[in-house]
Amino acid sequence: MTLEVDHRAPPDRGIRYFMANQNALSWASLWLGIGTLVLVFAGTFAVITAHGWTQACPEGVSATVCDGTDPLAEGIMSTGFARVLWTTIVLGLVTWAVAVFSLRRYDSKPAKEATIAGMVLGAQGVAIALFLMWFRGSDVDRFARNFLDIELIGSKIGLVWSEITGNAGTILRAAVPWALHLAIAGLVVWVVWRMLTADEPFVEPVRTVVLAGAAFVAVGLVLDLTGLLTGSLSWLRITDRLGDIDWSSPLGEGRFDDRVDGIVQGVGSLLRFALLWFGYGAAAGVASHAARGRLRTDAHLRVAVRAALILLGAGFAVGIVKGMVNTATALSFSRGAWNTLILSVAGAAIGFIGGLFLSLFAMSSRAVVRAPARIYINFFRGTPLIWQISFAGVGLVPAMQLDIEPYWIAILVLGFNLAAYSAEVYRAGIQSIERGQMEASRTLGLSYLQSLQYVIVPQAIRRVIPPLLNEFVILIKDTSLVSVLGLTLSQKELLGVGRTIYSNTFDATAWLGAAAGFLIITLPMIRIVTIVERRMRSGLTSVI
Amino acid sequence: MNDDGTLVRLDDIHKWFGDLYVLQGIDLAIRPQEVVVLIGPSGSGKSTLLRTINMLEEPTEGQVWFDGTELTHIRTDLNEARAHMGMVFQSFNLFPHLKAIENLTLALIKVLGLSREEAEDRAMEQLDHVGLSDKADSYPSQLSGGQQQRVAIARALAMRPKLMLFDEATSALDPELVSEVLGVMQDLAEEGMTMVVVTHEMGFAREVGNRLLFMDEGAIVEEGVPADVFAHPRHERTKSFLSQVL
Ligand SMILES: Nc1ncnc2c1ncn2[C@@H]1O[C@H](COP(=O)(O)OP(=O)(O)OP(=O)(O)O)[C@@H](O)[C@H]1O
Ligand SMILES: [Mg+2]
Repeated sequence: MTLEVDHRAPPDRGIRYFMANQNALSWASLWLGIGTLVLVFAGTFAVITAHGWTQACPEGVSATVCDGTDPLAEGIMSTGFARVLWTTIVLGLVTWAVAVFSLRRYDSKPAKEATIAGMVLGAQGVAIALFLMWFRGSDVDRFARNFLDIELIGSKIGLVWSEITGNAGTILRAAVPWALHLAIAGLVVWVVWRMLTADEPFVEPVRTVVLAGAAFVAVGLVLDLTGLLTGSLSWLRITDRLGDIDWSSPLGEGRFDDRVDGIVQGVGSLLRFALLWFGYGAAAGVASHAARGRLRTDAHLRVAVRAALILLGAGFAVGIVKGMVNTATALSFSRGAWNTLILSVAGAAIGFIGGLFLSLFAMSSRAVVRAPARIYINFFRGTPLIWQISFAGVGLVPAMQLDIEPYWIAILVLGFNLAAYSAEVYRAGIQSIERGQMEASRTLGLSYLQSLQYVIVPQAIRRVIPPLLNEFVILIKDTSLVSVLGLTLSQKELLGVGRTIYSNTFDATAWLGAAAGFLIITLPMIRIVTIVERRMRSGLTSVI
Repeated sequence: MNDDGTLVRLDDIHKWFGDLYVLQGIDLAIRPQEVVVLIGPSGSGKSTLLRTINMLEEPTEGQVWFDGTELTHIRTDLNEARAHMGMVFQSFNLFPHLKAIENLTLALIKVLGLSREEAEDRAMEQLDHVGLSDKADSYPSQLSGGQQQRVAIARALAMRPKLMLFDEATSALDPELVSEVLGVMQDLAEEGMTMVVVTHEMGFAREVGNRLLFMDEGAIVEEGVPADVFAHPRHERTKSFLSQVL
């Protein structure tokens, strides 16, 4: 070969190549997509500018008190704005129609990319338009007053929307506990089914489940007894000291009038808990099954016990706090611990699942897909959590007339926030999987998504468990920030409870109680992180 | 097969990595049942060429044809095409979180749509073929290098491919494990599998190959019957390369 060939420069694959290789349909979908997104931004800007951004008030009169309608809210409620939004939606649909034709006809990579980019941009434009439409139907003015310091006007449209969303909240609230119960019941049913249908004798699985259950009952009873004892002692101390305080104040709710009552209540809860502990134990046995398939060796039994210990960590917290039932103070603390647990577990469920998908978007090779994910992640990582909680609770939700309880707002914001952080963790994990894994998988004919689902993500998840657990520990502590939301007494988490007790009784040990509650929950988690990390260092691939 | 009776045809393939000109106009036609051996110095583009055949690397210019389909066409379903060609890597690339048998059944179930029972039967048969039916329930980390590579070969073969690509399949193995993998490859060649093999095992190239390609600096410099090329290399660069490795 000649030198000429050796020194050939790579052909142009830049913007000019991109433009030269479009066909009519791919061009159309790209520009329609861009147009959709631009229209929704530019149109919004134009309409609001036409109506004015702030109110013109007479000299010396501040905007909060001067009469008249607010131009910003007027702009948002105007039919012009509605037209912009509807046009955006129609344009987005046209984009998709054109793109669908283009998908079957493109003949070059640039045309393919332009088509897909058009579809993604169009979808983003439509999503924003729908969101704004929803916003229009809500209490714009309240939103404006809270955050833009603008006077109240206008009527409230879109009641239908808020009814639906309001009921969705109620439905969700009712559904979640049921879902949890069913999940546990389902797990048990599944294991029983496995045992009944297994080819081999099912003696060993039964033994594990029963053993784990029994171990839990034993440990749980000891814990509850300890709790009961310390509980009644501290009750004694507090009544002695605060004998003539008026207990009909808010904290009187759920308080027991005398120690006997407390003990009766305690014994009752002891029995209830014996059952609950057994449930935990059985669940632990079930978990070890799910982790390892059939139980065949002692090693598997050890795994079961370890899984049991993990669940014990969670139960531990509940057990101790619940055990201190005998004073009004302690009762609130146990509530608080529950609330802390519920807030962090529910937040983690949203955050860990959402974060996985977010990380996949953030790693897309297409900038139009990547950009929204990046914006989301940077926004949630770049603003303080306490701002996010306050903004959602005090601004967004009331303004949108959403019937979401502060408790649920807290869970949602904690989850959304965690999603951003865990997305980065997942990304690191997925990118740490050797390139050869994806290549081997694609070589077998699996698609990109299948490869992620069956090959990459399962491996990555194992690697990111320790950092994810760390995020979880942080989340547990961050639940204390929801105190800015003005939760009711029964909704307060540990810190909120501690603070309330202190202000009612001036018993400064309340602060220590809150700290103890947090430690009881976080220390086992921290311990688990250490164990998992050690196991991973020792080269064992499985961490459960 | 393609129209002209070839199974694989590369037409004027050029490939750049950034400014690096890695494949400098490759034409190659492979007939069914042929065993083509690819040799050449490190960095000459052998792996890139091999990976172009199943489009793990997209050529910057040129066309790739496989079994009547133009893979370089933008609307070709590459997953469908790849299901019919197997590839074996230097670093095995077994899925570490799956047992040996699950490494085989994954694509059988998800790509070919077999039921679990069918897939397991076929996988066991294939593992048996490479002499590893007793390791079906082992994880890759519990296998020796040679065993891992044989599982990887079985994984590819279980798909019943029309073409097998080997990229230095024995280079990562201890010397005493090389022969067990080469043995499996030789059996495969004798059964009539179409193969493209990148290797440093000159003995294997001579014994098993129907055609030898020598690559240097992104071009096929010399090709012919292996024994002839080894005995009478025509090109200067072939001579100096062979004198180093033989
Ligand atoms: N993904 C990549 N990005 C950039 N450069 C690459 C990439 N893959 C390969 N190269 C470069 O392309 C050239 C050819 O690489 P290739 O792997 O095909 O060589 P090879 O003949 O297989 O070498 P070896 O015998 O060492 O495996 C090398 O210079 C390599 O550095
Ligand atoms: Mg190579």
